[in-house]
Amino acid sequence: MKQLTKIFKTLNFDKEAQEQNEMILDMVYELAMNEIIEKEQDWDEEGAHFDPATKKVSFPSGMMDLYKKCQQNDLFSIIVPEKYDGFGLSYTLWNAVIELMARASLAFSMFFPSQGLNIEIINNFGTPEAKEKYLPLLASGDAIGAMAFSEPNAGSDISAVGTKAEKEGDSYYLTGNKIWLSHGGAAGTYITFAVTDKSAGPKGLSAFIVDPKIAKENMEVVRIEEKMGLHGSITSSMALDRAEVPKENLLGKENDGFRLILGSLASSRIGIAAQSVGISETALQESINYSMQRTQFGRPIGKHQAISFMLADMATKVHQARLLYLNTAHMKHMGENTQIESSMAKYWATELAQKVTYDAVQIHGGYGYSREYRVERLFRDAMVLTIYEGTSEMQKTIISRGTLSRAQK
Amino acid sequence: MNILVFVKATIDRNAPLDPDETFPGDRDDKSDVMTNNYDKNAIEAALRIIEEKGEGKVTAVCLGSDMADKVVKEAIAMGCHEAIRIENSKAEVTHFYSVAKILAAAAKKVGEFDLLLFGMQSYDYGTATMAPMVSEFLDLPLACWVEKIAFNDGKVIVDKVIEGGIRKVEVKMPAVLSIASSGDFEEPRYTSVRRIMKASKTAVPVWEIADLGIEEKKPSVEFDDIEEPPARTEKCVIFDDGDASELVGELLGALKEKGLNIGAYK
Repeated sequence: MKQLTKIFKTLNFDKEAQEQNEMILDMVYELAMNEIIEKEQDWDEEGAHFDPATKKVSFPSGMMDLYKKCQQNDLFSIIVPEKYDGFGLSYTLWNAVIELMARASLAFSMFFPSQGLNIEIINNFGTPEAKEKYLPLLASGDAIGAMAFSEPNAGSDISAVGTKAEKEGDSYYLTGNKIWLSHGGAAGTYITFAVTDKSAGPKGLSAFIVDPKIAKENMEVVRIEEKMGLHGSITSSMALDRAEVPKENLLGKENDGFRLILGSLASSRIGIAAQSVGISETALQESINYSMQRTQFGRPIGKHQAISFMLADMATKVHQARLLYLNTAHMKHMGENTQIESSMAKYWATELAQKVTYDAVQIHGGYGYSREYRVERLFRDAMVLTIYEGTSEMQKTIISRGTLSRAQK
Repeated sequence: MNILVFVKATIDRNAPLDPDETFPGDRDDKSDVMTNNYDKNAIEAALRIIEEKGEGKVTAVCLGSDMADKVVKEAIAMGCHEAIRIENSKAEVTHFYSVAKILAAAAKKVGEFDLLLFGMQSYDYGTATMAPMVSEFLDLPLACWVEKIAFNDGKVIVDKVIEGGIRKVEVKMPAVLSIASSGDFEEPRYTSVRRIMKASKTAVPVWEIADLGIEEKKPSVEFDDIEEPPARTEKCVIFDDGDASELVGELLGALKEKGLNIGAYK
């Protein structure tokens, strides 16, 4: 925690904001380390639930109780503008909160990046009616925000979306299939894409807020995924069959959805970098504790150079990735365009989380391969980080394109 | 209903120990300081009483240097209406007896109160003496390790923890209570972003010890020195490789070798 607050002290927050940041981070740390981390193993073992008869999804036992504590502590309102019942605080703080949550449980921390992206997109591109309606709900956490981007044939290539939106009267009616939806079936808002002009390719896509209370039975969960890790988090496939979306829930202009969403993804990538640092920090701490307890050849393994150098590498990498995501988040807070830097932070921190959790398993030896030890879960959970919210390869594509175009200017 | 809750700045359990420290919580790095966790149970009790009564005020009182600002702000961020810090920047006062004198004088200066609440002990020194001493100095009734609170006709009825059970006690108000970390107030609430924003904008008055009319500053007991214990030289031998019955034999053999009387074992 000290490493995090030390970095905050170097940022240009005034005294009052510094004090607020520290108190909020203290509170989140306490909640994460006293309560959430205790449940993490149970959530992993129990997993999320789906009842095919009722098409209802549910989180593992006790997860919503802790979600409610986050609501009571106003955690989802951090970046929401004051006008919409939020506090208008910094992206820097928001992402540090994500790191702390991910230290306790990556599955639980999933509530935050997608909430943040819903808030940001609706605030930037929503109609006045949509802002009035959804931002207070997202700020209080009464609505969980979800993203419905991927489709069976549209993953990294989001432009290949097949879901179509037909306008009739004052509403659009969406039909298609969406996959890999975090919190799909449990969310209160879904940001999604659909084709509004088939002949125009990516320029014929529009972005919408799908409200399940309006779409009703025309939007349902088909299945939830059984994953390598992140068992506590719901990942759904959903079908839209003429799901109604009122015209007030169109984001930006019609046929401008692709540009609008693509530009916004940079923001949530910082959050994934923050999650990666959180999971890496826990892997590092588990490794330090274990290597000081485990004795081989007459001394703690942490005092053998092979292990101590691994720990040094891990600690340095975690610090480096933390600087990278906090710096990018702070740039965003200062109003800078962070398109390239967000991809750099995401690419670097997620790859590193896999390396750090791998090393943590290695340090634990046979015990690291056992489900009894936390590092086994951290390693499985970390595998998703280089995939979701844009694979490492997509990040490198963005970084190289951006860097080359900068060079040409 | 006016309630004063006394809160203490202690060293964060994760911070390194400093044997040269003269007053707990007096550190250069604010992140080493935390609210005594037992005091949070007292804050919880105070807030619940006010919430249930639907009226009243909770004021947090803390003796400490500006490092303790964090602690009084946290009290407000938990829900206390006001806070007072009593300046102790030069660590003038370090002994429990003198601290209790000051806290009692502060309560007197506040004047109107119905309850004085304390955590059951502090996280660092853990003497659990503050509530009894303050009640003695103010000549007020006392109940310690309180798990449950009810009111009846100007009196407060409490369940207090005693060895092997609970004793119900009725005390007249104003009274001094120390709140247990079990029972009704076991889970103190968190701060919230909304209350943190309020706390950061709330000015906390700072009182000087000199203004409290305390004559006696000299402690009746002084710490001569605080040292770290000497490093242990004994080596730990773990018998974990082999059959349990054989291992027990090996263990007993090793103990016998060390000259320990292990009875009939040969």
